[in-house]
Amino acid sequence: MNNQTTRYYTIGNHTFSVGGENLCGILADKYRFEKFLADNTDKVKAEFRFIETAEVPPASGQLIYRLKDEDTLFLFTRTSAGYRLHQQQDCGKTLDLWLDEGNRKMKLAGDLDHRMVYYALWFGYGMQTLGRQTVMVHSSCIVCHEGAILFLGESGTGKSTHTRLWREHIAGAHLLNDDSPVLRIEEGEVWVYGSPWSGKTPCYRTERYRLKACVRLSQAPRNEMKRLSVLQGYAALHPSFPPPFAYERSLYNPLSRMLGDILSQVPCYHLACLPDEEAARLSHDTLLNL
Amino acid sequence: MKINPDHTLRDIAGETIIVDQGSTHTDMTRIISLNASARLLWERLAGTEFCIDDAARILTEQYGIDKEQAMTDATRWAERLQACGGILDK
Repeated sequence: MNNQTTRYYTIGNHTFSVGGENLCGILADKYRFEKFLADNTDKVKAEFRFIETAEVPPASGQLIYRLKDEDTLFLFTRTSAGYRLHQQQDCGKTLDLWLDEGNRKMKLAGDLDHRMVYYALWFGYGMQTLGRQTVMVHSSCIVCHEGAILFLGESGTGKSTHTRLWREHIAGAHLLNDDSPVLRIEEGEVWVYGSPWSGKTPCYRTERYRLKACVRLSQAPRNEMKRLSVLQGYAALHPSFPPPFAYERSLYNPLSRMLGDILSQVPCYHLACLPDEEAARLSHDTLLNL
Repeated sequence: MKINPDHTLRDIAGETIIVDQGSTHTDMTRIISLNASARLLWERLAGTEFCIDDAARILTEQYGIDKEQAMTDATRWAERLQACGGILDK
């Protein structure tokens, strides 16, 4: 039995706390969040909080974003004072996360199912760090020659397959994250951090690397790679930024600024590819000289 | 006609683009890029009801081109933006 009621985590160099016995129990139970436990010296720097509560969530107003993914429905809405994320599984379990605009305290109420809690934390972390030049990017991230490369694409395109091919055929390449690495602009440079959100691949690393390139993947009968213009890069990157934040102007403004910063510093490519060794070698050799 | 209020003009790494933030079903990967004169018209006319004459007048004043050329350019500007939903007919 873990009776700690507050835990501190540092992800993407942002420290936050999680309060509540059951909530802490869920995170403590798994080795993924444990890797991100904050140092004692960082705890005082906590920027925001997640708190388990038995309160009733505020009423939902205007719908911002709706998604049904497998067995879970996600509703992101405005409330009279801020925002609310409602998750509802087909089995009837629900979890709500809400916050008042500008407030650093987020409340969680409902069924503390692992999957819903992880998503709520991803969502809340994203909301809180948006204004601090931080964004999660749906991608598989490989590290090679001390730099990070993001591979982007719709689900099922073969991002994880491509980074697996790098690991198998490119000496020194390792995976940083397989679903949602954290991008952060610090002192004018774009950095990529590992995170506890890595899809189906248990790859939870606390390292950070400079972002060297972004590569959008698509399936093709042959391997071909080309550099993208700024506009093409915008179209390549944009869909991989968190969709729920794209439809609310106040949330999209900081995202849009980050897209601009990234595109002015980091080259973007399109790789049409087969799931084979040659594809990994082509992208490696094209990016090697960056 | 009027400029679609759901379309937002943004500066991205030196380019001017328009992003449709209308609803959760719009395709955000459809991105419209504007050159300097197209941007000028967009910024001057956003939030107003206007006709081609209004757009042409702005071009004449700003660039000193003749009225006929300005009408041609303004018409092309409006047609291109109407086609992608950036300008609404009413």
